[in-house]
Amino acid sequence: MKIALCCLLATIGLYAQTNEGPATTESPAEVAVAGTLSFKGRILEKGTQLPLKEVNVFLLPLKLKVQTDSKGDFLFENLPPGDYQLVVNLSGYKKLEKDITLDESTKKLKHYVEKDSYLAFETTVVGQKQKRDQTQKTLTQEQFLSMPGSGGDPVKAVQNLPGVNRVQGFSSQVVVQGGEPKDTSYNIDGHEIPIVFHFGGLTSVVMPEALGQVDYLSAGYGSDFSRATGGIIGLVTRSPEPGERKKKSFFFADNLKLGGLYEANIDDKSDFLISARASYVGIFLGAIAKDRDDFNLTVAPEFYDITGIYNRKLDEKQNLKIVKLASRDTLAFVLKEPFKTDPAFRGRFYNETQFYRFIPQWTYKVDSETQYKFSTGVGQNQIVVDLGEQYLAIRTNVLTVRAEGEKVFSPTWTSQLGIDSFLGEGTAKVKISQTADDGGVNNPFSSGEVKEQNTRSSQVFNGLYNRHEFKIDDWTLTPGVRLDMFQSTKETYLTPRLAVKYNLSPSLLLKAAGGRYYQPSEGREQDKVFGNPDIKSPRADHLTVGFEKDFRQAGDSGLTWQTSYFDKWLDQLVSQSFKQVERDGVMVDENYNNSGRGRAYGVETQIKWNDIHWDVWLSYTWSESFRWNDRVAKYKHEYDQTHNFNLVAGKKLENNWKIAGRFRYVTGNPYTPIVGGTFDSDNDVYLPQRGSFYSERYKDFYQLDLRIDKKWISDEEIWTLYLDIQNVMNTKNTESIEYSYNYSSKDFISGLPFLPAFGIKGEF
Amino acid sequence: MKQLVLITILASYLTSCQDSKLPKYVELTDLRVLTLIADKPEVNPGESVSITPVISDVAETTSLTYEAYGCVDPGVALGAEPTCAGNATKVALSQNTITSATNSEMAQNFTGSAPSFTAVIPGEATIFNQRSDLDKYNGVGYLIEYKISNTRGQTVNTVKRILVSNKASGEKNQNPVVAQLQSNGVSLGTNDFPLGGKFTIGMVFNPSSFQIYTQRKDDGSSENKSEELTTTWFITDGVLKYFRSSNQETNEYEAPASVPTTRKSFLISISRDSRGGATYKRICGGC
Repeated sequence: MKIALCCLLATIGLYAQTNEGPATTESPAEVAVAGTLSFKGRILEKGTQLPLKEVNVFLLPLKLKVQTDSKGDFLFENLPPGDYQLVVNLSGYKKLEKDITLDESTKKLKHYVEKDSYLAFETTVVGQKQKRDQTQKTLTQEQFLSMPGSGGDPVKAVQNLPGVNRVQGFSSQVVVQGGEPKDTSYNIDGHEIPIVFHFGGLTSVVMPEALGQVDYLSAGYGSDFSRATGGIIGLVTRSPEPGERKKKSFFFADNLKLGGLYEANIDDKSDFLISARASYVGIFLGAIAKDRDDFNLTVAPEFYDITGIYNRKLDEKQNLKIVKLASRDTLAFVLKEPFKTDPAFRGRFYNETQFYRFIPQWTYKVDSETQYKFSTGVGQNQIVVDLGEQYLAIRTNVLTVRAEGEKVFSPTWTSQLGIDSFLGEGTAKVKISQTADDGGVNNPFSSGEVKEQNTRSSQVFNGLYNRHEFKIDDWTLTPGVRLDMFQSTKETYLTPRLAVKYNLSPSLLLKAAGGRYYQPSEGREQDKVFGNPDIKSPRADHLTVGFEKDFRQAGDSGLTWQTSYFDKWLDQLVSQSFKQVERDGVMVDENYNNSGRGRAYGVETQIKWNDIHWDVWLSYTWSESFRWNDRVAKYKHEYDQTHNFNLVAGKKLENNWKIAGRFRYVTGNPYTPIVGGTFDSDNDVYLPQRGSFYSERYKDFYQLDLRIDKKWISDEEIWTLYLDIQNVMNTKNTESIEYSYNYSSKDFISGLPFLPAFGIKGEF
Repeated sequence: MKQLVLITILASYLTSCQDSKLPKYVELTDLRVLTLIADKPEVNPGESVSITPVISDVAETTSLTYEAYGCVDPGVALGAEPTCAGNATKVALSQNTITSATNSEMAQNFTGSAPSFTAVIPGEATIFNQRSDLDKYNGVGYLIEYKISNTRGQTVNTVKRILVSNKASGEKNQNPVVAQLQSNGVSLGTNDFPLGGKFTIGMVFNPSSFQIYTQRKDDGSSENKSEELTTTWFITDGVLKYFRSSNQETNEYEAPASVPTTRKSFLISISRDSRGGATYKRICGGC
C-alpha cells in the first residue's frame, strides 16, 4: 500500500511538473490578409485551468469583441500589427486587462482570469440532492471540508447536526438521538461497512474529497434502509469530474496524515479517480514512547486507506460506476509489566483492523417513468486483537446486494420496490475474558471468566421493501413496508413505515414520520459460549413530527429554520445477565437476555443563515433518554444529554481568506459512580461496586474551535494553508475518571487541551 | 470495545509523564488485604479448607475485626455482585477480633498472616446441582467472603473462590512454593530487610510450582496448559521499579537508608498461579 501511495504521489508530482513553466505556445500569429495578423488565445480560470466558454473577449482600442468556444479559445482576425489591450470582464471574476503587442512572432497565449473567491473546493460540484427521505439531512463536500473542529472530516462534521449526541472521551462514533454507538449503521453508497473511523476516531476511512456528500438519517427513516434502531450514516461517493482539462489532482499533508487524489478522463464516456492516505502520527508517538522503559511501541498507530472510483456512461440510459475502498489500521506495543489496574493486560498487544469493498453500481433509466438500480458490495472484514494470553481474530467475507426498481405510475404516484441484503460468512477465533460492563463500568479483565470459541458461521439478513409516494395537492404521503429476515436468529419481521408532508404555504412545510425498526443482535450476543443462542433482535418504534420554514424570499441567501420532535420506544434490548438458566438439561450462564427497555425523546432544531459572506448554523437539541431491564429500575441512559448546542459560523474575507468558528455546549453525560471496591484475591484486582446507574454527571462540556483558511492562486495551481485550532479557550472538559486501585479516590481526566493543527493542500 | 481499551492503555502510558496523585498499589499505608491463601485451592465436594488472610495495616495500633462467610459462587467472574449476601447457600465461617497479641506477625504493625479460619465445602448435591460435566471437571467456585475493619473506620471486603471439581486428587491445583526470595542473587531471610541502595530482587520457585493441568473446552476437546506465576510486590518504604513480575523475572528495589523509628519496614511478595493458588513471603526490617 505504501508503494501504491508513493506511485500516486509520484504521478501527481510528475503531472504537476508538466504543467509548470510559461503559458503555452502553439503557433505564431498567422498572417491572414496582406499586412494584417490574426490573434489567438485561450481564456482559462486561474488556478483550476478550467476553460471559460461563451465569455466575451474585448480588444481595445479597436473595441472588437469575440466569444470563446467550448475550449475557451478565441480568435481576432485581420488585425494590423501594434499594441492592444485584451479585456475580459466576467461576473464573479476579477477583471482581466492585459497589454498585447501583436506582431508576426506573437504566439497563441493562455490568459488566466481570477475568480472573486476560491473558498469552495474547486474540483467538485455537488448539487443538493433531492431528499427522498424527509428525515434525511445532508452535508455537501463544501460544507464538511471547511467545518471548524472537524478537520475536514465528513462524519465528524455530522456531529454538528441536531439530534447527534456528543460522545465522551477518545471515541468519535455517531450516537443518534439518545441511542448507543452500535445503533448507528454506516454505509458507503448504501452498502454497509464495518467501521467508519480509523483508529481512535482520528479520521473517517474514506478520503473526504472522494465523497460528494454525507447523508444522515434519523428517527422515522424510510423503508429502503433498516437494521439500525438509531440512525444511518451514508457516505455517498462522487463521480470523477476531471472537467475539460481531462485530468487534475491534489495532495495534502497535515499533522497526522498525508495523501493525494488524481482523477482523469479515459475516453469520452469514462473517467476514473484514485485517492490514498496514510498516517504518520506514529512517528511522533514512537518518539514519545521511546524514552519509556515500561512501554515499547513496536508498531506505532498507522492507517492507510485507498479509494478508487471508475465511472462509465454505457449509453444514454445506462451508467456503470465501480467503487473500490480499502482501509487498514495497525497498532502494536509491549508492556514491560502488567497494566496497573488490570494484570490481565501484559506483554505484547497487537491490533489490526482492515476491510475492503468492491462496489459495482449499475443504473438503467428506461424512460422518464421507469428506472432500475443494482449494486453489490463484495469484500472482507478482518479484525485481530491480540492481548497476549487473550485474543480475538475474526475474518468475514461479505456480500451485500441492493436492487431497486422505480416506477412513476402517474404524476401523483411513484413507487419503489427493492431488496437490501447482507451475507457475511467467516471464522471467529476468540479467547477472551467475559466481564461485566453494567452501568458503563467495566470489571477488570483479570476478574472475568476466560472463554474460548473457534467457530465458522454465517449471518444472512434479507430485506425486501416497497415504498410509495403519493402527492395529492399540498400533501405528500409516503407509506412503506419492509420484510426483514434474520437467518441466524430465525426471525422474520414485517415492519411498516409512513411519512407525511404538508405544504402549509410555499415556505412552510409540516412533516411527520414513523415506523418500526429491528436491529440484529451482535454475533457475540448470539454465540452459545459468549452469548445466548435464544437472543432476539432489539426493536424500536419511532415517531417524529416537525416543520421546515424557509424565510428566503428569492435566491440562496437568508434564513431557514426546521424543528422536530422525536420519540423512540425501545424494546427487546439486549441486556447482560449474570443468571444461570437451564438449557438442554444443565445449568448454563445466560450471559444476555432481551429484558432491556428504553425510551428517548426530544426536540431538535436547526437554524441556518447564509449570504455571500456569512454561513451561520445553529443546532440545538433538548432530549431525555432512559433505559431499564429486569435487574435495574428505570435510569438515565449514558447518552442522556439534556442540552446539546452547536453554533457554527464562517465568514469569507477578501483575498481568499476564510475564518470559521464552532462553539459547543453540551450537558455532561451521566455516569455510574463507583462507591467502593471488593478485593478479588484470586486475580489481584479490585472489583468496582457500582452506585445507582448513571446517577451522576460529568461537568457540562463547552468548547470553542477556530479554523482559518487561506488560498493562494497562481495560473495553474491553488495552494491552501489552514490552521484548525481545537479548544481555543483551553477548557478543561472532563472526559473520563481515573480511580485509585481500590476505587477509594478518583481523579477527573480532561479532554484535549488547546490543540492547533496545520495543513497544506496543493491542487494542480 | 477491545479497541477502546487499547486506546485507553496507549493514551494512559503516553500521557502519564507525571505520577498520578492517587494512592499507589504497592505502597502499604492503610488497611489492605493482600491475599487469601487456601491450603487447598482446588478440592472435592464436602472437603474442608483452611484459609489464611495476608493483611497489612501499618498505621493500626489497637485491633482489627473480621467476619467470613461462604456460599456457592453466584457468578462473580461474569459480573454478579461479589458477595454472599442474599445467597441461599450462605454460611458464616468465622468472626473475631485481632489484636497484636493474637499472633506474632500481627504484633508487627498488623502486617503478615492473620488468623486462619476453616470452610467446609457443600456436598455434591448442592455444589454440583444441575452442573454440566464440563463444569464439574473444570471446577465450580465456592465463594469465600472476608470482611475486615480497623479502629479508624476502614473496611476492606475481599472474595476468593475455592475451586470444587471432580478431578483426581493428583490433577488438582496446588499452591506454588517459594524456594527463595533473592536480593542481588542472595536468598533473604525473614528479617533480612535490604537497606541503602538499589537491589535486584526476584523469586525462585520450586519447579513443581509450575503445574501442567488440563482444561476441558465447550466443544468437548481438552487442552494441556502450563501455569504462569505472577508476583505482586508490596513495600512500606523505598521505591519499586515494577509492581508485578512474571514467573522468575527480577525487579529492582531502591531501599531506604534506614528503618523508621516509629514502625517496622516490610517487603512482601504475593505469588499467584491464576487458578486460585497463592503463596507469600515477608521480609521485615526492624523486627
